[in-house]
Amino acid sequence: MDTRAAPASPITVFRARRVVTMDPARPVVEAVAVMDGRILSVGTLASMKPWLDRYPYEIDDTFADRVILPGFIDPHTHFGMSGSFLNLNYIGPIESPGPGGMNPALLTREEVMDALRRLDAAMPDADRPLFAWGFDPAIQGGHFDRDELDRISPTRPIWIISYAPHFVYTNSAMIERLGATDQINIHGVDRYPDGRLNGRFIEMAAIQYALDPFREEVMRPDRNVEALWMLGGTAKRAGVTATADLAFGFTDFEQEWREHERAVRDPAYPLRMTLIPMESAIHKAHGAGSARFVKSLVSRSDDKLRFHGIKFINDGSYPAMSLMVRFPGYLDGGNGLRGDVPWDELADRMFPYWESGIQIHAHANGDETIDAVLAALASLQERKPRFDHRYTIEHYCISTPEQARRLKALGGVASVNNYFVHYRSQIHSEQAFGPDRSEATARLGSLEREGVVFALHSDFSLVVVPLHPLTAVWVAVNRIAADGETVMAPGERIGVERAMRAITIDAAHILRLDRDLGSLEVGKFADFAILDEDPFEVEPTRIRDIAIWGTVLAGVKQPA
Amino acid sequence: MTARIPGAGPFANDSRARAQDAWELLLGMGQAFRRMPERVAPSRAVPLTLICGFLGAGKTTLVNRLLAAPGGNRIAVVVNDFGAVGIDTALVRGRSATTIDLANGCICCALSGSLANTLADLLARPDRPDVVVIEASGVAEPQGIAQLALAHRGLRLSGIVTLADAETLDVHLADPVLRPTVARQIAGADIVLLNKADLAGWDAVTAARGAIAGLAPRARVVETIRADVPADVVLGVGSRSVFVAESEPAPHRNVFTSFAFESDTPLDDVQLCAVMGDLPASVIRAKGIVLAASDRSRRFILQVVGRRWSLEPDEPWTGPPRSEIVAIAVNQDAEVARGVLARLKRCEIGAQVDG
Repeated sequence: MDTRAAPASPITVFRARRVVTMDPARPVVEAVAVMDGRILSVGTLASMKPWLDRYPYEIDDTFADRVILPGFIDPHTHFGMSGSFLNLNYIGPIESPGPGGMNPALLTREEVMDALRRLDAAMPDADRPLFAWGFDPAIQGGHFDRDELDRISPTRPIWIISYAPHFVYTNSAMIERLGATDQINIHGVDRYPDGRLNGRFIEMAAIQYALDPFREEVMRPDRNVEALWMLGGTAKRAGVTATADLAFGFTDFEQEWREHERAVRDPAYPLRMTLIPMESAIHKAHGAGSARFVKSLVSRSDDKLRFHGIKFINDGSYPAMSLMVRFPGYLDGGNGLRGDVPWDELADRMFPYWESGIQIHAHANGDETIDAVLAALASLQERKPRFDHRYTIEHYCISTPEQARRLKALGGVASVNNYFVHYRSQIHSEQAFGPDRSEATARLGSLEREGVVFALHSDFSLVVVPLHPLTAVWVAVNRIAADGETVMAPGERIGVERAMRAITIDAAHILRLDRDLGSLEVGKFADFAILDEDPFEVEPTRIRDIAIWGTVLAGVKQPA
Repeated sequence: MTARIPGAGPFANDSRARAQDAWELLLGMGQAFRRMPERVAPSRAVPLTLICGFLGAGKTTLVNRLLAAPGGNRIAVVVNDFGAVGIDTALVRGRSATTIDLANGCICCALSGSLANTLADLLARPDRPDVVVIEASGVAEPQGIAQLALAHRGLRLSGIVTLADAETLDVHLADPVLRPTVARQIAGADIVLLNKADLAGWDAVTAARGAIAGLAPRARVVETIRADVPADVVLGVGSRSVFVAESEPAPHRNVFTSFAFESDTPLDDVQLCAVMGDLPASVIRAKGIVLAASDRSRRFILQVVGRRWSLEPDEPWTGPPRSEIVAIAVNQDAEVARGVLARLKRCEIGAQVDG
């Protein structure tokens, strides 16, 4: 028998209180061995003997009291589009997602001032301006003025934009940076009774004038790369080791690519990233050559940063109440918005990708839109039947059991934003489309009954929900509404196991990564989520509260 | 059927919805910044008018009027979807999925993707429009839309025009569910077109005027029938120095007039702005190029609509430096016009010495 070359470094055996593999063959074990960034074996030290007798190894007991799971996968986020805004310091009166998780609600003027003071103290560079948003003068103690903001910092420029109407408040240092003097002649640049500028910009022309520092900040060249790093940290804290950006190339394809290369291919970056280009942008740039261009992108891909698929947007969003629903529409008689491509042209537009084997991700939030994307899929199958095409309906918020059945028959899969069941469905019941649709938001039970593969995602952070797969699992299993007690459409609840699959192996399946990710099996990448407790063992209502130590990526520990 | 322009959720009382709105505004502004990073001189920026109003107030009628008789301008109207607009097919020259081209050079454009990208695409066209109009159906926060649009440097806000239905305004304002939306649309307006004045009757019109005055004390109010009003009132463009237009015969006949001020003497900036901020209610709009005392090397662009005004530095003079200001008024008597012209004359440098 030939002997192989020794592995590059010693085998590491991670021992834990429990190792949950998401492999039905051996669902719970005690240890996982890692060789060259991939899983060598799962089991116990004893069962791994055939390997450990032959090769040097070390035991790592960092997680001895913790639980190891496959690294969580959020298959639909928007780091690129939203990241550079997330660190703009939210100071609003409701909980809101931010880089560190959920920003707490700030309910009083005192709390807002404290938050601003802390933000000022935490910024190392004394000249960098501080930008904040979400302020609500009606709830948080009235308008700011320059003198008050000068008390936060007399030297650092401060710029705050409020909720609608969107006034801008500045301190003296920011007024100076704007170049505004007391002689300025724009209506709405507000003043104290003595004629001095008071730092408020309250009418259209004034606000337009005051946008320049904000514009400069947003357009700062390194900002997007910083944002990717910040969001990598957010993901790590949520136990996520892989995600996909579903709107790549929305502004400048090559610029975005350079930014992602710089960030993600750094060995210290804690996340694997899949980039799914936005079809409308590709089409604008490449026209008839679009499918060919997308196919060529595979040459840029590697295990950490890769291109995959193509994304079509077909209606609006759930929280903005702009998705399209069937009879009878919204409570006010209206309906939502379609996407760029008319629905009856959708199949034609999709066909070049379908033909080239490029996986199609079709955004559809409302049931009317789902009809349209199912019709497009049926048309594609008629022209050229394909198996294992994994045509994915993205979001799938308002649907029917009949649609789940058709999706199954056509071979499609779903990636569902089910967070809304908790965060939005009650409001939507009263103000958007009534109880029948709102209560049945995110019909995971129906998908399960029909045998459709589905994943759960957060859309982070285009909508106001956290990047936290354990919360998605908690919502899927409990379907508890925002009031903390009502169970919305209890028949659509699913079990813990199915929900956990939706953030691991089934999410990997959606991204065509299940060969290498999503479960702890020999040969797959050693990507783990490290939790304090096992979601299968705790009270289902406590799943989202489980503390997360961090992750492991390709065998390298990434503490949160 | 109302549809929604994204980024302007109708339920502003819900904190989470407001957070979502504010967030989408920021993202939209970011898109606008990226698409249009360069500065644009005010005289080169394309004027933007926002048309708001509750269902049935007459927005569609107004939009169709503008597209049918654009007064020599290439107007681009952005709507949520074409179904609501119903353009006369005789005017149509060509259609694509998201754009209807009219024979007279105007465009009707359905929202494609985000508002920021739709506006950027419009302004990037080789046949750039002279004016952009956003028909903001069912929107409770017109200022949010305006702000997003203004993040695009190639645009400047020409005015927010709200249509109010004289027949039903009191009913809507009395309804607790509808009031916040309707009130906000009026409060945000520079010009309120009080439409269906013929159907409403004298009492209703008077009551409506009172309600509007309470919500928007400095907005200009024009009573209209079938949204019939000169394009310049709505769009704020056009440099015709004198014109007269009349609305349809009705209990309230509107007479629109314009008057002009010209001067070779520099005008004191602060005085001028004081005059512009305090024009009589009959003056709906004013616009012009100003030779300002503060900086005589460059033109200044003056824009006034309702209660809003701005005086912004523009490009250096290419011809002889002089001020030319045109104002549009409704049902104004000559005495009032003369008064405004006299006040403007007193802004000339050296005038204070005599006055």
